[in-house]
Order: sequence, then structure tokens, then C-alpha cells
Amino acid sequence: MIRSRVVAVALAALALAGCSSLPSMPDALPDDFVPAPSSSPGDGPGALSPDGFTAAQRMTVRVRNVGCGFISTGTGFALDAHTLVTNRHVVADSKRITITTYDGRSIDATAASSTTVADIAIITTEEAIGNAFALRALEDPFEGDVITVVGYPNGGRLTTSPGVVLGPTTDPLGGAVGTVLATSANVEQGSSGSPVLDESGRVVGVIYAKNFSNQSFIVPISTLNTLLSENGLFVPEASCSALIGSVQ
Amino acid sequence: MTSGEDATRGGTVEDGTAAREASPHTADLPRRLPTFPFRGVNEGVEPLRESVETDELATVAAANPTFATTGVEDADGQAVTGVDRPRSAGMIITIALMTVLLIGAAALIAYLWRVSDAWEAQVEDVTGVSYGLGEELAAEREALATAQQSIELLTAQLAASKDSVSRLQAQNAQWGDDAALAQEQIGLLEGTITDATAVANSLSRCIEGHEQLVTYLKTPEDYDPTELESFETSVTDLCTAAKDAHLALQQSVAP
Repeated sequence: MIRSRVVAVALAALALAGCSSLPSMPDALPDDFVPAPSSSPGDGPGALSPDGFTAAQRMTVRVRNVGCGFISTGTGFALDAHTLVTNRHVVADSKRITITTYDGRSIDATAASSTTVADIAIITTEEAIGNAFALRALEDPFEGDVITVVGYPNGGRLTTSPGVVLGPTTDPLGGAVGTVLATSANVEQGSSGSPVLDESGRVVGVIYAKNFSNQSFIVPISTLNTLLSENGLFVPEASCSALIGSVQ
Repeated sequence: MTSGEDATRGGTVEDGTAAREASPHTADLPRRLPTFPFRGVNEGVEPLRESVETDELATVAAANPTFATTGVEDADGQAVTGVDRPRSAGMIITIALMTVLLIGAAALIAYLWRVSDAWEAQVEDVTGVSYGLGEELAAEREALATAQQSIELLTAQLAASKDSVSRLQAQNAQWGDDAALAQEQIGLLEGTITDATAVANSLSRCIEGHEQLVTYLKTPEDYDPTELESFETSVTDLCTAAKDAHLALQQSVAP
């Protein structure tokens, strides 16, 4: 009798265990089999620009220096809507400075200030330059890093030139404090003040000179960051007309 | 029952007493026979319960009185005078188990039937949805192909537009340079004209001074000689300044 009960209990347990492996009823079908999109085309780093130009191209401007008896051109790039960076020699001896954006807008500069520490100058405008601004890197590029120079060589069309960092060196013009960086990027007159971008699109330097070996020289971003953090290092650039007036 | 089975079972019962008295390891006895009377209570007797009738057992008991009193004992060792009660209980339990198993099997079959129907219905639904999604996918692929063609066309147009913008921007900037240069030249020319006008005025005043001096010298007795000399000196200075300005103007406009 006991064995029969044991057998019955064993059979019941076996039946219960078997029930756990029985196929279950199907779940209800979902209302929509199409998943929601995980991202928008305008969210990623490769998002489309409003007009097909890259942010680096949109932030780069052409600088016209109308001096007393001469006209010269250079390049600059926007730090914000009313401030841009260029070279000191681009704005030297100016009577009037005009900014031309990538899409042809002309903006008059209201003031220019420069420093003797490096070939760097700051230009301010009353009218907004645009809506694309420079992202400055926190450290200098290293030897062998790939760079891109965006500028207006010879005062012509907006041009992008690739290159690599050749390494630190002393200023070939002898005017800068500290070291500068030599690169293989091909630049021309008018490229002075061009932003040098790394592969992430961040500014790592400013073009200011070249040599006969077609090597270009840049003010490293560490120097620019130091200068921008201390406004006292910049002094207003004297106008040639004011100089003429003072002489007269 | 077949006679052969009866003969076998009869032989088993008859030999059971001797087997109970003999050693279980006796080699000349069939091994299966002693188990029936000594297994006792319920289990292990099912094959014989179904085939042994109560009347037959009574007959067997009558033929072998030893079996009637000693063939079956209960748990307390008391002799059981008949085997019909445990066999009936075993039968009931067996039938109950069989019934339970049958009901369980029937329930299981019904459940599996329902599950199968439900899965079949869902497969039909999924198939329908799949065909719908397939049609939508085909339509989307066609739209995507059209969109890609449009994108390629727009990309080419955008590249052309960017090239035009850059070219026009460069032209505009160059024209701005030319205009600024022209404006500077105009400013310089305006300055030159202003200087020339001033030189011309100076020369004119020089001439007027000379004419006035000539008029004064026609009647020198009417004037103080000192004043005449002073006037002549001032006219000479004026003309010298005018000549210097004229010379400077000529030098400034010289190519």
C-alpha cells in the first residue's frame, strides 16, 4: 500500500514536472512590428550642414587690410559671433579692415588688437560673423599628426590643404616667444591666419609663415589658449591714418 | 483461461508449500514459483490476480489445505484466509490510477490541441503581417532607390552650387579689393586735386600780388617807400611758397 502511494506520488510529481515542459499558449502579437528609429540624421557628428559647407569652412573668413597706400589679404577664423583670430602682420598698419565670409558677406571690423608674444591678433566686429565657431584643442599636436589648413591663399577661393606636423622648432622669423610647429601643409600668401585643424575638426594652431621648402609654420594652440586667457597681452593695433595724423 | 495456464498456475500453487519449506536456492525448483505465496500482501501478485478466480482458489485450497491456512499472511503475521480483498483493492487502485492517467492524458491532449490551434492561428496572423511588411518593404525599397537617385542628383547640384558660391565669393572679394584699391586711389587723387587747387590758389594770389605791386610802382610817389618794400617782400614770399607747393605737387604726381 505504501509503495502504491509512493508510486502515485512519484507519478504525480512526474506529471507536474512534465507540465513545466509543455508548450504554452502564444503571446499576443505586437501592434507594430516596425521599431522606432533610434537616431535622427541630424544628430550624429556627420550631420548635414545647412548649405553643404563644413563648419571649418563656415568659420573661416577672408581678411582685407586696407592700409595707407596698400591693400593686403589674409585669413582668420571665428571664435564667436563677433570675435575672430588672425595674424598680427595681417592687420598691421591698417586703415580699414573688412571681413568676407565664405558665402560672400562683407563685414567691417570695428577694432583690432595684437600681441608681441606671437604673431596673433584679435579682430572684433559689430555685425555677427556667422554661426560656426572654432573648437580649440587643449593640447598641441604631435609629430606625425595629420592636419588640415583652411584658408584663402593668394586672396582667392576658400581652399583646404592637408599636411602633417613635422615637429616643434624655433620661430624662423624670430618674433615669437617659445617654440612653433612646422608642418608640411602647402600654404601661400593670404593663408596667414588660417586655422589648422586636427582630424577631429578642432583647431590646433594658426598658420603664420612659410619657408622656401614649402614648409609652413603655425602658432601652436597652447600659445593661443594662453594668450586668449590673458586679455592684458593684447593691445589695440594702431591705425596708419592715426599715425599719419599724429605725424602731421 | 487456457488449460495450459491453469496447469501452470496450479502447479505453482501446489509446489508453493514445498518451496516455502525448501531453501530458495534450491536448484531443481523453478525460480519463479515460490514468489507467489510469499510475496504476500499486494504488490507482485498482479499477474496472477487477473487470471485466478476465487472459486479456483477455493478449489486449490481444498486440494491443498496447507495453502488455505498458511498461504497468505497479513502485516501482523495473521493468516489471511482469502486473497480476494487485496486483489480487489489493487484492482481499484489500478483502475483509479488508469482513470486518473486517462483523464490527465485527455486533458493534456485537449490542452495541446488548443495550444496547437492557437499557434496555428498566430502563424496565420504572422504570415499575413509578414506579407504586409514585405509589401511595405518593397515599396520602401523602391522609394529608397528613387531617393538615392535624387540624393545623387542633389549631391551633384550641391557640389556645383558650392563651387559657384566659392567662385562668386572669390570674385566678390576680388572686386571688393579692386573697389577698395580704387577708393584709395580716388582718395589719393582727391588729395592731389586738393593740393593742386591750393597750389593754383597760391599761384593766383602770387599773380595778383605782382599785378598789385606793378600798379603801386606806376605811381610810387603816392605810397610810402617802406610800405612798398614790405608789400614787395610779402608778394615775393607768397610766390616763393606757391612755387614750392607747385614743385611738390609736380613731384607727387610724377609717375
